[in-house]
Amino acid sequence: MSRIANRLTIFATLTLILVACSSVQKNQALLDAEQSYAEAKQEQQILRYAPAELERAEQALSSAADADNLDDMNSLAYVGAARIEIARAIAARKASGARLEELGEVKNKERLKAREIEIQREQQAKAEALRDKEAALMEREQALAKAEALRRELEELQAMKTERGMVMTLGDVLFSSGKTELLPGAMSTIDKLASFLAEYPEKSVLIEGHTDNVGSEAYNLDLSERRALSVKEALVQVGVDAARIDTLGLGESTPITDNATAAGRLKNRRVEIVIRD
Amino acid sequence: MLNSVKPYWQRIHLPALLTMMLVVLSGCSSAPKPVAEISAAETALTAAESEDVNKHAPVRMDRARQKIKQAKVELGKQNYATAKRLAQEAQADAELAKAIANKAEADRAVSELENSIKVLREEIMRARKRQ
Repeated sequence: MSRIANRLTIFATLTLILVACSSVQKNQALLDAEQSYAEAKQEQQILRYAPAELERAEQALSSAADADNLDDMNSLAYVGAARIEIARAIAARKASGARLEELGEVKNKERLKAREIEIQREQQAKAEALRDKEAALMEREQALAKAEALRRELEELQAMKTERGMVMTLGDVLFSSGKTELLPGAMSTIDKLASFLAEYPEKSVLIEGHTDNVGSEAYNLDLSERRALSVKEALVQVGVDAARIDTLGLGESTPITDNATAAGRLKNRRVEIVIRD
Repeated sequence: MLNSVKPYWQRIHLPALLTMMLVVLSGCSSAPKPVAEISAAETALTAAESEDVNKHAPVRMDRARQKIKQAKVELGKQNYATAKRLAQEAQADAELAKAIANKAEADRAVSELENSIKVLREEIMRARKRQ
């Protein structure tokens, strides 16, 4: 009898304890947390960067599911939900860390590019400075060459250096006797002078006509003037700007030698071209 | 003779059953003092206390502080189960606050770096145009 009673008592007690201790039904808080866990479990970033925290979330949720009272279930569901959020935040932070590293490399590359451009610019500036220097040198050489050329050309024009500047003389033989027309023989001198003036646009000329003392003074003055104008005309015809040419008739006033001999008079009949700067 | 011998289940199983019951009872009756939980929560709170946390997760952090405070009150009242729950929640709250702040700072660093790269690229563009 006592045997059966004892047995029954023990079973009854065990049953009571088991019932009292058995887990309560899952409430909404836990179901929500489990749902959010299931979602987190799908996210590669979380699986990759925060597996340990996700594991802790799972432990809290499974403890919540096994809880024997609602307070524990709520609390553990709360902790589980918080741990899911922690996992999410940790994963996001680590992803940002990885991004930082990538961006660091990107920035280094950009810095390198900027530096290269700077170097290029420096080299360009150096090259430009060198070019400028060379250009200046060349300009100087050219100026020297030009001066030398001018000297030679003046020489070729048979110009004489005088206190009035360079002076070239067209002799009487280049004019018809007692007339103003230039003979064809004068044209090579005119051409040379024209190309000289084209090359040195800053220069101008003064054309002076002179005669010997044969004939009246008025006649000689007029003749000298017309001969000077005739030379001017010839120059203008080959393209020299008339504004660069002045003319002056001096008649018999300024002989360069004695008018007593025929040779002297020939020398005195002349046109002088003064080249002015 | 027969009565002098106890039934086999009484001899062998009663102590075992009692032990089982004890185990089950202790597992489901009043909790032990949650010293470890309180300590873990306090560690988490200390680790979380920072300007960044106050800036990025002040509410969550405050919740952690309130809960650890309440957990200690319950501990004093020997409401160990409640104290344990509060301590665990406080720990999770503190850790979450810290994780949120860390994430926010990392995001900020990323956007700063992105910005500086943008500026650098603009400078390069301008420099190229000048060339």
